[in-house]
Order: sequence, then structure tokens, then C-alpha cells
Amino acid sequence: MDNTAAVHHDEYEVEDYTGPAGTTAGRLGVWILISSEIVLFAGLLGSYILFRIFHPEWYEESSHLNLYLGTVNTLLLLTSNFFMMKATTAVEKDDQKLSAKYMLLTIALGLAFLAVKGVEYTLEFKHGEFPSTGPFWSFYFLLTGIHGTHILGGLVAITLLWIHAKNNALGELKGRVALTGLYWSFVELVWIFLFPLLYLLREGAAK
Amino acid sequence: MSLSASKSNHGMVYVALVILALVTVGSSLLQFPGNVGIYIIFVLALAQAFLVALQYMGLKIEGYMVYGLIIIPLVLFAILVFLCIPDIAHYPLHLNL
Amino acid sequence: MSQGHHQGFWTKYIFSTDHKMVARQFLLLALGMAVFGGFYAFLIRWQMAFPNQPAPFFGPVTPDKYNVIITMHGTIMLFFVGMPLLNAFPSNFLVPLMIGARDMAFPRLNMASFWMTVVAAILLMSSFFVPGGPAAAGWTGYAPLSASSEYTGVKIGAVLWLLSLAFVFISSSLGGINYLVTVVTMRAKGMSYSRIPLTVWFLLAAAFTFFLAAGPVLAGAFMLLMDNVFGTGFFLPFKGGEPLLWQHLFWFFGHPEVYVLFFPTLGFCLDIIAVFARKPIFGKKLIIGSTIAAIALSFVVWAHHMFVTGMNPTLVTPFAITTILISVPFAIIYVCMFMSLKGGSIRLEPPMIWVLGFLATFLVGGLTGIFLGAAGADIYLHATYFVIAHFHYTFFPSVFFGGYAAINYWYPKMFGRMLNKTAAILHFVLTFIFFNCTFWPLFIVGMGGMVRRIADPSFYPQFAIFSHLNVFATISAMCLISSQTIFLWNFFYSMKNGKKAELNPYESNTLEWLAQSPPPHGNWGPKLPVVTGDPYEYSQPGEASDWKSQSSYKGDAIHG
Repeated sequence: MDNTAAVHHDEYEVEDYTGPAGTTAGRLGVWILISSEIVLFAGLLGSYILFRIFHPEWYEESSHLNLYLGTVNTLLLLTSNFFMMKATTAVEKDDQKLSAKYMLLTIALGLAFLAVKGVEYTLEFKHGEFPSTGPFWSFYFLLTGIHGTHILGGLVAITLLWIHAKNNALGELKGRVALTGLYWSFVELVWIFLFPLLYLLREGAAK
Repeated sequence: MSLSASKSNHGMVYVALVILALVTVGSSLLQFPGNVGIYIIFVLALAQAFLVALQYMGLKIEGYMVYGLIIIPLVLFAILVFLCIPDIAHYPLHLNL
Repeated sequence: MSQGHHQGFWTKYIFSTDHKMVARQFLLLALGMAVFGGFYAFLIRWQMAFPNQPAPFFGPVTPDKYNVIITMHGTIMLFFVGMPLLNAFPSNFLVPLMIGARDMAFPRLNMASFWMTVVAAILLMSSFFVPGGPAAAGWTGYAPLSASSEYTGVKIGAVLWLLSLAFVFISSSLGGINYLVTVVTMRAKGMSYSRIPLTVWFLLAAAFTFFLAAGPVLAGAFMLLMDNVFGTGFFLPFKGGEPLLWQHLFWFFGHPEVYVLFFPTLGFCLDIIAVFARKPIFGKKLIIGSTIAAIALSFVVWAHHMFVTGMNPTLVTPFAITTILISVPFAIIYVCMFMSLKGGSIRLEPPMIWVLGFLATFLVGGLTGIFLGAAGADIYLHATYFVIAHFHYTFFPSVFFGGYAAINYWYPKMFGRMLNKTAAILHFVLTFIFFNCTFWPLFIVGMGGMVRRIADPSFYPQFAIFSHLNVFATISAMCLISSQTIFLWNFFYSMKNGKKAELNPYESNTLEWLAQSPPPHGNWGPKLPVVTGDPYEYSQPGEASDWKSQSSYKGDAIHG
């Protein structure tokens, strides 16, 4: 939401926007949130990378991961991100109905991503691979768990926007679609690095 | 602020990302001498990351402030990992192997 | 989003999105939690002076209770007294007022960050009533002690402690985002970046440093949570984990965190020195440059907390060098403060007295840090009472001398009343004397080799020679804690029947003194102030009076 709506009095003079051109307060806020999230994933991925360097036997453990489901998940998230971008451009063209349709697709694919994750987890549990089986699995469940929680948070935000957009009632929330799209692209960006680090460093990837 | 300037090529960006994703997975299945396989995977991952950041997140049209907000955490990421290598990724400590 | 003039009790006091009300809420939370923190401090000191004799209001301080007490004292004093009192309360109250804005950029997010801190406090306090008791692994929660309940017998308490920390980190980061966006996007006309007062600069520096530093420790907290709950082994050696990783993640955050607590106090002291010395700040650009250098360096010094933990020796020298290096920017800021005092016509009002007290005591804290930064000396001094004396000589001046200076200085603006001056000076004199009497002996005891974090000093015969110093420190600590009641009385008494305060009692240039006291909702009347000057134009040659407000805005009465 841009800041002029922050304190909306008819008889008050409202301060004008003094931030950098081309960015609103909301967008700057989401970028700062993303920068604090980068540092959070820095802690997580950093620890994983540090362990990975001196644990060569994890290549073998990483091959237990279901590469097929992992790839499907990557494509699901890519497509979901694409639809969210289409929803953002639709809102900019004031076509809330169209953007609601795209948002619905985004949410559906996001839920599909979590469903595939659930299937993967159950398969791993069936093979006796729990977070406590070893450091690799602890990191696997930690990284995918926290990434999954971020996806859940994003889905909640998009659903709220979808409910408004469906009834053509976005009003002041119009700016938020682009901001949620920004956050959603960041979550996609994290998966772009998470997927190779966990799934692709398999047996034979390096000797 | 609007991304409409780059709205036309969302489709192209998507296609490029899908291709890159599949190529990354494909390359991980091939046999490469030494660590070349790893470098290929992460160059492709970086390519996807730049594509998403510049096109979808509109980093291209952001000012210096946002660039600072993105680069500083990445520098801290590098600091944390490199300064901890001598301590954590140095000598194998695992007792149960 | 628009709030009508008539607000019910709930929206005005409890779920308020007015940045001034959120500021007062944070202040009250900090003062409330300080009572707990102070009580635990008293218990620790009691056990050090009179081991195993039942402490008043508590009974005998048994070893397991002692571990809980030191954990809770550290956690509460840092995250529930230091952070709110120095970051949340001043940022909320001062940032919009000092840059000429009506409210924060995201008012609801502002309210949410307060209530998150309250939830964190409730989580922490509820851990006293769960089976197994609260967390007992020190405020640093070193693994493997904190990573599995088989060592301390604490299971739910450790989880609650970690969740409480996670909530506080997230809430303070969200607050930081709010302050940063507010200053960048909502400044009044004419308020260029160079005209922003140093208090706001330092509050931003603290917010920026915090949300960058909080990431890795949040990651570590999730890992520690999984160690405790799901039996993973991130930090447990027998499960293939690496305990030092927790220390790296924790102190990567820990050291910037101590500067996050220190930066706002620097801002207050600089602004207060300018006002009460009637003189512009010496070297303002030098100060801002040094702050940026200090922020950068603060991210590469963390391992000086880990010199003796079996960390790889190749890391010890670089971190010792960066630690000694970081004292340079702060020395520059210190010299700028002294030069700002030089040649000024000093007005010894309570805020100025607190700042002078801060300058004196923090200097000792800063200098003793150099011994601990030098790896050679730290091998001996690590984990002794010397370390405790060092960080109390840095925390206490920052949080309490700096905090009391800010409260004394902005109290007229917050409540429209003046604090009782004699009570304020008496409170300062007692606090200054008893603070030094409490912590100076601990330097001596520490150099003598008395180790910290031991529950029962009488168990070690070689510490018997320190008993009279410990008794002296405990008695002064009890006087120090009880002398804080003067402030609590003064704070609540003057709220209703203190002397009526005029708009600008100390003739200061910054914007917030043009608003009414206390500023109404929306801060400024229908018109916003237009900034015409620099905040530090005091005693300018050829000017009639020795101060010139940043704006010619006249705070006309506002209905409602």
C-alpha cells in the first residue's frame, strides 16, 4: 500500500513520497524483507555447504532423494511464479477478474508443490529416512521444511488477495499483488539454489 | 514501478527458465571428469537466478538502494561461509563413521 | 485505515497503531521486564556473596536454579529490556517526529511487532511453569548443552526459549524494516539526508545492522529447535554434528547485536551534547563515516568470543586483528563527543548529567574490551569475571545511562510534564556510585581468576580470597537495584503531577520539539513543517539567540 493511505485525513496535509523514484514504500519494505530473508537462508545454506564440503559420503545419501519428484516440483514452482507474474500485469491493467484467475492458478500450483513435497516425505519416512537418521537428512528436512513454510505463508497472502480480486474488491490492495509477486519470485529464487544443492549433487556428480 | 515495460516477455522468460531447469537436471545425470559437473550445475542455477531476479522481480528497474539491499546480504553470506571453513569444513569430526 | 478523532479505549491504548502509543507500550514492557531482570541480577550477586544461604524472596539458590537465573537474566536484559528500551521505544517515538512525518510507513506492522514481542515475553515467562523448568544453558545457549534435554533435563523450557528468541528476532527485524522505510520515504519537505539528526541516523544504523545479523542466528535457532524436538544432530558430536557451528551462527549475530544496543545510545548522547553544550556537533560527517565503518567491521569480529573454544587457531589472529581494529571507529566517535563538549556553555540538566555519566563509564568498558580482543590475554581472561565486568561496563551505560538520558530528555515531549529534577539528579548520583561499586571489584576478581557461570563459589577454595570483594559488590548491587525505585517513582509520579512542560523546554533545534507535548494523533497540525535548517545550528556567529529551530513551523492547537 503506498504511504499516502497511511494517514488519510481530508483536512490534513499528507507528506509526499520522498523515497527513490520508481519504488513505493511497500515495495522498498518487501525488498528489505527479502534482504533479511537472504541472510536467513545464508545461515541455513551456509551451514549445509560447510557440512557438505567435508562430508563426501553425502553424495550417496543424496541419491536416495527422488529426483523425478524434485524436478516436477521445480517445474511446478516455475509455472506458479509465471502465473503470479501474469496476475501482477493483469492487476496493472485493472482487470481484477483476469488477475483472480491467474492467482487461482498460482495457488493451485503452489498447493501441488506442497502436495508433492508431502508425497516425498512419506516415501522417505517409509524408507526409514527421518530427520534424525543423519546430518544430511537433518539438513534436507530443515531446508525443505523452512522453504515449505515460506511457500505456505506466500499461499496465504495470495489467497487473501485472490478473495478480494475475485469480487473485484482489491481497492487499496492493488499494489499488494505486485509485492506478493515479488515475494513469490524470491521463494522461487531460493528453490533454484536449494534444488541443485540437495538433489543434483548425487552419486557420480563429482569424483 | 509497473512491470508492464517487461510484461511482454514473461512468457519467454518462463520458457527459458523451464529449459534451463531441465538442462540442469540433465547435466547432473551425465558423467563429467572431476568437479566439472558441479560447476556446470551451479552456473546454470546462477543463470536461472539472474533471469528470475532481473525479469520477474524487476531488479532491472530498481535503484541503487535495492541493489545495496541485495548485495550486502550476499557479501555477509560469503563472509560467514568462508570464515567458518577452517573451523567446520576443515578436519573430519564425525565420530560415527 | 483512517482513524477518527474519537478512539475507543482498545484502539487508543491496546491495539493502537499510533507510533507514539506503541512507543509507550514498548517502554512499559521494557520497564516491567527490567524488574524481572533486576531481581535475577540480585539473586546472582546474592549467591556470589553468600553462597547457599537462602536469598530473600527466593530461598536457596541451588545450582540448577542458578543456571536458570543466569540464562533468564541475560535473555531478559538483552532482548526484553535492552532492545525495547533502546531500539523500539526511541525509534517508534522519535523517528516520525524528528523527520516531520505523521506516523510510520506501516502502522499496522508497527503494532504487530509490539505484540510479537509481548508474545515472546509470554512464551519466555510461561517456561517457568512447564515441567523441567525454563532453559538453563546460558543466554548464549551453547550446544551441545542446549541441544539435547539429557544434559540439563530441560525439554519444553528450551523449546519455549528458542521460540521466544525467534519471535523477538522477527519482531525487531520487522520494526527495523518499518523505521528504515519511514525515514527513506516519509521525510518532510526540506529534510534532506544531511539534515537528519544523528539520533535518527543511529537508530537506522541499529535497525539495519539488526535485521542483517538476525538471519544466521534465526537459522541456528531452527536447527537447535530440531535438535531438541526431532532428535537431529546439527550440534551434537555423537550424531555427526558440529557444536562450534552454533557458536559461529550465534556470535555472527551476537556481536553486531551488542553494537545494535550501543548505536542508539550514541545517537542520544550526541544530540543531547549538542543541545546542552549549545554547540554544533564536532565532525558530524566523521561520525557517520565511522558508524558505517563500525557496522561493516562488526560483521567480521564475532569469533573473539570463541578464542578458547577449540576453534581453528588459524582463525584466531585475523579475528583478534579485526577486533582491535573496530575500536578505532568508536574511538573517533568518542573524540568527536569530547570535542563537541569542548568550548561549549554546558547546561547541567539531568539529560546532560546522564550523558556525562555514560561517557565516563562506557570509556572503561571500551578500553577493557581491548584486553579481551587480544587473543593472548583472552586465553587467560576468557570466562572470568573480567569478561562480566567488561560487558556490564558496556551494556549498563548503553542501556541504562543512555536510556535514562533519553527518557529524561524526551519525557516532557512524551507526557507534557517535567520530571522532578532533584529526584533525577539523586537517582543519577546513586546509580553512578553503586554501578561502579558493583562492577569495578569484578574486574579485580576476574583478573584474580574467578570463573563466571559457577553456581557455588564456596566449592572452590581458591576463590575464598575474593569473598570480601564479592560481598562488597553484592551490597552495592542491592543498593543499585533499590535506587532504581527513585526513577520508577519519579517516572510515574511526574506523569500526572510533574511541572507542566512547555513545547521546547531545552531550546533544542530538532523538529520534535515543535510538535505539541504530547503530540496528538497525526503529530503536526493540518500543515506539515518545512525544514529550513541543519539540526545543529547552535551559537551561530551573528545570530541573536544561541539556537535556531530546523523549521519555522508553529504548532497550532489541533481540535480533538
